[in-house]
Amino acid sequence: MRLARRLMLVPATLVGITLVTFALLHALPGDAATVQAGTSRGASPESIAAMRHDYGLDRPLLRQYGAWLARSARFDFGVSLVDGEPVRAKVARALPVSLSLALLATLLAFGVAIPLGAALGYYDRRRWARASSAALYGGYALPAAAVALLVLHAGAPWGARTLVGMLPAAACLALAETVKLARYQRGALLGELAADYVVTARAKGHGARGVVAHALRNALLPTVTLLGAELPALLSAGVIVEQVFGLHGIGMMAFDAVLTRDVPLLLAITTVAAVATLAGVLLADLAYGLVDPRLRGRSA
Amino acid sequence: MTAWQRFRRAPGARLGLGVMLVLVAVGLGADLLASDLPLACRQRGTLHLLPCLTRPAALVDGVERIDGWQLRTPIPYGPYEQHPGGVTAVLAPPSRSHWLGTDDRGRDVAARLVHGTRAALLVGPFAVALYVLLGLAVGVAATLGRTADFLLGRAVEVGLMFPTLLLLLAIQGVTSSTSLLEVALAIAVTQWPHVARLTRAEALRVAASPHIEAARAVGAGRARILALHLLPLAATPALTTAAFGVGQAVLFETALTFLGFGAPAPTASWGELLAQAQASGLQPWLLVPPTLAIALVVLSCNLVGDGVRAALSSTASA
Repeated sequence: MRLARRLMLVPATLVGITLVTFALLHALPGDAATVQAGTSRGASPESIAAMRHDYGLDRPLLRQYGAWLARSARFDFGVSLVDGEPVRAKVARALPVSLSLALLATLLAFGVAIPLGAALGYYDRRRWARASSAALYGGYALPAAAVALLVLHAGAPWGARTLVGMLPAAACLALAETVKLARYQRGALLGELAADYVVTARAKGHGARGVVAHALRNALLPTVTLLGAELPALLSAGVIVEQVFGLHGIGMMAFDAVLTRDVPLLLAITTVAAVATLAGVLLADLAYGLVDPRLRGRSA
Repeated sequence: MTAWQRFRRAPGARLGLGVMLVLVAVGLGADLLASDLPLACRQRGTLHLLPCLTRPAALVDGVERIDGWQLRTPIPYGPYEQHPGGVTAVLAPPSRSHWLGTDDRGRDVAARLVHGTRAALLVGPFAVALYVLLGLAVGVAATLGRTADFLLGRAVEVGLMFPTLLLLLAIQGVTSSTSLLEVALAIAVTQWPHVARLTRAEALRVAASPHIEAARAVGAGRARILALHLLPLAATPALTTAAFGVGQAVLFETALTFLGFGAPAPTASWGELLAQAQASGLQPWLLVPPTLAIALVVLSCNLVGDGVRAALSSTASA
């Protein structure tokens, strides 16, 4: 039920995303075509006219948006202003890099944060746990760029193309998320450990393992809900990490596109990132249903 | 016990607030800490008081011409000037004359660090104030009716889909001009949906509470109920995020400047120092100071945020 309602709202969200990119296109001071021609050197009047026609800038606004919507649906954002290659092909080449980086970072973040947060929550009274919690607090405040630069300087590969080579970059990307998730997980487990059912389990003679097994299950739920919110944050921080580690993902591509004023490419990247995020949010909702049987029952 | 008393009792929050106040003082008094002109001096028989703030025309041409006594600022360099006397020590490591070394144009890193506080503290609070107000308005407006709630909810959902830094880059790409104000605006544009979402949930909860019904029963108008009875209570989560938000906004500002799209070229910014650290093969005096400065700001904001959350949440439960 919950998921079905969400799915019904997906088209509305997609339309909203194209509205934002359309607004961006029209946020260009003056006319999109002349601005681009003015900033990219050596643009002839013919190329300006071609660009204006390409964007349909001579038609009424509503018609323009209709055309924009139709193009967005086909991910057809025209050709790159730099080398004339279709923008779709460019993005299709870069997206897997960014997505695998984000996926690696997610796996790392959850893989480290859940046991770490649980341990910090369970051993909350110990001095080392208190010290680690404080250290995590500090780690969250470090700028991604500085961490990435340090890791790169420590000998991590630059411009890696394999998943293993991307691991250091993914670790940098995962750092902030790991800290956030671990703190969240710690708080959730602390909350569950104080619950009556855990006290009962202890009273019945359950050892540490049994107690953790009981409490951790319930404490996992809120952490899993965070999964959906992570993708935009990871794609966002990915811009920095890709730039520092020389990875040719969409973050690096967006960086280059701003430098060269490649507006079609920028709009395509923005749209694709938003759609990927939407997909991630839906997947997380699905995962939430799998983890929490109560929600699954409701959706049946 | 008031929320302020509870806030003050938390040691972390007090520490965070203290650090924040010191940073604000550094930002406000940047010209008193690091300037090419002295705090006071005598030149050709005239006494100049605080020329580092007033920058009189008689002195701006160069410190060398001061013939009388002078009292220099603790860091005797401005953020823009190169090594005085024409000697340009590019990328010099920390020394007695340059506590934190010089950057790739021979500018004093300590002076740029101090003045970079301004960029961070201008962008951070301004961006947060903007998007918290916008988010509050949208979130509270969601209680006006089902249609309003649905439409605003869609807008918020769309807004949440865009990765902040990518949208910031896109905005920079199409507007093609950069200033601190625009960086703040861009951060506000990308962050308001988060506040709106939190406020909406709280506003709907508060709207169902008896005191709103009572206000309606005695004949209070819709606008009055929204402004006086709903908004103060529904603003709690927004205020909590505001404290964390300043730190996040500073992170975004430095990230943008690091990429080269933030504050325009000569402006001193911590992100620009990080970019120089990258370009110069990671010289430690270019990397460590801005990193610590950024971490200090974010840390103090997070401490204050935790304090605010603790103080306000116990108000709600009490």
